[in-house]
Amino acid sequence: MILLDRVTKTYHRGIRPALDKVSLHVAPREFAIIVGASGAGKSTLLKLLTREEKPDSGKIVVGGIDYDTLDDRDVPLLRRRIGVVFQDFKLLPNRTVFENVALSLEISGHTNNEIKTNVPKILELVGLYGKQKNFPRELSGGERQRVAIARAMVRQPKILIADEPTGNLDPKNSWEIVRLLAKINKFGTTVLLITHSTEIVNRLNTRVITLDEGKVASDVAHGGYRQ
Amino acid sequence: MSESKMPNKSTTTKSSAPKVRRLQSRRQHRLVTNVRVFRYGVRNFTRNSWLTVAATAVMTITLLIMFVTIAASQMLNSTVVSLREKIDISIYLDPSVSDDTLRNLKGKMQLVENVRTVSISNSKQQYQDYVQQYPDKLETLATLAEQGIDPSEKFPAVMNVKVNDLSNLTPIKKVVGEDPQFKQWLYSKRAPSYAGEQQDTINRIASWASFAKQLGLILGSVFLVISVLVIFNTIRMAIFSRRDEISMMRAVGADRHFIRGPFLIEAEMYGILAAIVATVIGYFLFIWVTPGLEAYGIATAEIRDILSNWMIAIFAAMIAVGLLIGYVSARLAVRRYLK
Repeated sequence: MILLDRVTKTYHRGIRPALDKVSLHVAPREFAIIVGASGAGKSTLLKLLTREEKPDSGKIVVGGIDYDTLDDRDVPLLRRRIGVVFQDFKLLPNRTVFENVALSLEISGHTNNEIKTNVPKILELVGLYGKQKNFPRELSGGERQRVAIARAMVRQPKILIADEPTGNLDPKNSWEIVRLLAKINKFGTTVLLITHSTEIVNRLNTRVITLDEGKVASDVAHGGYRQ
Repeated sequence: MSESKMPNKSTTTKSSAPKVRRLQSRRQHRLVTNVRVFRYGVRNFTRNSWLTVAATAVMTITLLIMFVTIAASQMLNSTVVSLREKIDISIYLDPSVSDDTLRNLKGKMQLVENVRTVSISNSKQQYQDYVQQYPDKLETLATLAEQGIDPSEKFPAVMNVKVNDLSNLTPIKKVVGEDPQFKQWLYSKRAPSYAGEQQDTINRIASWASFAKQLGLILGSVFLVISVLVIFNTIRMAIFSRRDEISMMRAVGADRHFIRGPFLIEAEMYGILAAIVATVIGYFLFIWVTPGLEAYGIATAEIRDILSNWMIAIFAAMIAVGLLIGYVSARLAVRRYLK
């Protein structure tokens, strides 16, 4: 589902690469966690997967799309196939929960009818059914992240990448978000969770890929936090 | 390009191409997307009320200046034309000139540069015209006749010349002054009238017309630039204030059209609104000043006809100009700030 083959990315000459010949494979329906200290290359990895950046060398294939053959014009189309959740939610403050989630469908050209049927369903799935008309500022951090997850999931992507989704949340909310991600994974979506939370890593008991100084330091099927 | 990925490139191209194409089938929803882009544009337009007012005001002034310039120069031009219509040059010839000579002179005059029409009238016709025009002078004329003078032989023959351009009378003056036949028959007691004073007035109006046109052109260009700058800046500010929104939309897969479109629509809304306001103001301004202008002898009939017969076309032209200004300025801003 996600394949990286000897991917290298250097931002400045003379400084060590942000990612150095990283190879990894995440199978369909897998739940994988990427951990690593700051500067280990987690953000670079996300940027490469969402095609915000291009690798200097190496191959990336996500969901069957080879990034080498991907035209710049088609990058938006790629992004519509991958759900991404960010640490800072990236919600539009002046739009309601419903509108924020609907935007994702509007962008990809879904009809109004599709929006009207799909958005409430996904909001129910993430547990926000009654809050359709609320604005993000009226929600708690955990609820906001649920909106962001709903927005990423409403298009039913095969892959969900969550970049530090619990970074701004307290432990209780964090755990709920992680459980939601696990639930999404159970429905068949490949989930790539980027985090540095020891607790989450240890409790989830799933595959853990550790990045260190731009390299894959370890890749354990049922890992814990190694540092 | 690393060597490692080269060998299997062709195979992956084949396998991923159909998928990308399948992704592109979403583009069939173009219409839905365009409607949304339009809706977002309109929403942004109504949301930025203060910027909207400023941008629309400047654009309105620009369009109004264009409107007034065109209307004013049209009015002054038609005034000049109608005044010039009425004016001709009179060349007085000796009463004894024969009709043959008159015709001969007429033929010569017709060949002169800038001459439009030439008409002649001999001494007798002039006398009759005079009698008709001033019947009360009959007595005086009768007195002359009693003294043995035939008044009908004393009136100078007249050649009336209408010209194309009143400001260029030199060729005519030259012929009258230098042609031997003209010199021979020119009436010594009355010099040719070159519509002296009237001509000055007309020339003054004509120069006002061209001054008005130039002034309008300069003011119009200045305000055109100002309105492009103001709208450019308005859109620039809109882009900056919606930066987060834009980056978020990009992250969830919005394409260029979806991100840029609303800003273009927003700027075009300024254009449309400004065109409506400018046309309405311009029209009522015209109605309001018409009586005053008429009193000064300015010909307003033609422009009034144009305004009433071509109202829709004028309105459409104003909107077109407004749309163009909006589009160009927004396009510049978007290209610069929305990479």
